[in-house]
Amino acid sequence: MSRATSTPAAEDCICRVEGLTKDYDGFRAVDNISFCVRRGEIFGFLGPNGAGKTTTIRMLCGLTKITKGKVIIDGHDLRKEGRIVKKLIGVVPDISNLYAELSCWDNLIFCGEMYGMPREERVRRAEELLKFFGLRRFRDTKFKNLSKGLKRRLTIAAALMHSPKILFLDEPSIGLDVLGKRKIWGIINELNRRGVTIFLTTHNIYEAFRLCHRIAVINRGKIVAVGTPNELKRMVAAQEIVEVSFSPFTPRVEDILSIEGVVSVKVVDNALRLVVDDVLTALDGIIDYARRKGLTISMLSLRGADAEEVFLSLVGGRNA
Amino acid sequence: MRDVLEHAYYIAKKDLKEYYMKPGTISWGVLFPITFAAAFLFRRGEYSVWAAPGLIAMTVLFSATSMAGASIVFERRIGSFERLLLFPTRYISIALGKSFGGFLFGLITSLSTLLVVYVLLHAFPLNPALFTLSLLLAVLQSSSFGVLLAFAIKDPSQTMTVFNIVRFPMIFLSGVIIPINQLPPPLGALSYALPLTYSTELIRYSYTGEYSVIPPAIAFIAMIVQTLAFLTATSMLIRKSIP
Repeated sequence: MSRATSTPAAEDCICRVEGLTKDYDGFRAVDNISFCVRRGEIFGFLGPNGAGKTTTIRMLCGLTKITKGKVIIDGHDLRKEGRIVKKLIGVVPDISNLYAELSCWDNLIFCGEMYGMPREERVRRAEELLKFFGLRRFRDTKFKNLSKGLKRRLTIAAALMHSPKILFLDEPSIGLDVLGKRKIWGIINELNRRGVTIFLTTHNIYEAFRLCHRIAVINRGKIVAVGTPNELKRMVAAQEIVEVSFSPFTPRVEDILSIEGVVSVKVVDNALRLVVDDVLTALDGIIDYARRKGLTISMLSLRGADAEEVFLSLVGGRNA
Repeated sequence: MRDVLEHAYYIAKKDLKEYYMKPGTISWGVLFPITFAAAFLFRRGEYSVWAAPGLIAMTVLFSATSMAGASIVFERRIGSFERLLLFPTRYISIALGKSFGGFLFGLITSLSTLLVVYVLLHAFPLNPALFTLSLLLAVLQSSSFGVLLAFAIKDPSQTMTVFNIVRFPMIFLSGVIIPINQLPPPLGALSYALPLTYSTELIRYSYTGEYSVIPPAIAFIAMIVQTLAFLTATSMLIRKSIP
């Protein structure tokens, strides 16, 4: 059961997913998930590695068969009207996989051709996108000779050639340095300001909280929460963060997780960062544990949760 | 139908730009068949007109399949093949487009072999119109065969090895060097299962007016049926490859 905080009307949804399930040889990668992406929003799909994010986005794009469930994009059923849906969506995979020997220009024109765009429109759109993405001086550079960040930009540009109604981005900033990430985030925001609806998957909590209007948190194939960044924070508002360090040794995470009131645990340097939902009970348990193990508590602090801790709390400490 | 052909054309155009200079394409698609053809034309101290059509058919097979193989291997390895599945296109367009790329490359290479044959033998095809038709059909048949083979191979890094395991025996079993009617019966029967047999027989008939065992009309129909079967099977394999 997901902790959904907002239920948009069906007509607001450009992408509606109902009971989506994917099984691989007895393993359930995505388990009966439902959500809606509203027109004009940036919708994030946040989860740890292996949570089911990429499987979900692949199903939404038709790259993976759907075991069960329904995907409706702008009123069209993906399973019944696959080719119509493909005209409505743009897809940026997690790897920048354009054609290495083709120039930036040729890559864009090829995409335009495959979407059936007339020649004049292809040329106009390719010029517009090269300008928007700051790639004009690389017009005739082969894709293989671009830097990682530029490759990423061109891959996004290629997905926008046919002016899709919704853009699917799988881990848009993965593998990029700080400047590259910031450039991509700026582009995503600007595209959204220009009216493009964006669905992105990420395991980067900061990216999701910074970019997205709403976020679905997925773990082990299930959606565990959906809401705006602030709504997600409020969900765990009752929870607080205890940072504690012990001497002469740091206890095992499993031992601390078994203490009543502790929701999740993360090792940070030599300290443990605990998300707790009942501070007094948790502190009692921690002190009792230290006494039983002959440990000294060398540091203890208490504060509210940040984005990362909200995420940890939602997916459970063992998965983060 | 128009958009199927249009998409196929764009894919082929892209493949030619992307893959015609790949080492596998050049070595197995151009250098090997032309050298091999030149070497085998010279038999028993004289140039053999009989061998020329078979060697042209063999060049067609090697060049068209190498180009098709290179494009599919490379795209599957780096993940860019999936891009084609994101476009609003039919699987048959992808199969046809990949085959067209091999077709154009095979055609250019086979013209080079024709030039070698002309320089060494000064021999023209007996029926130029039928020869042109046979050559075009042989190139399409070979490229669609290469595309099917490339898709059927699970591990892309093994593609050229598997290609050569399939192609080399064909040189000896399809009437390229040894006439089919001179093969031992079991091998003669096996030759009927090989696409190169039909292209060799048809090209030889158009070039010299002779054939070994398969009448030209039968060879012509068989090549059309095989090409359609290869394309259909490829589009089914693409559909099946979606996890």
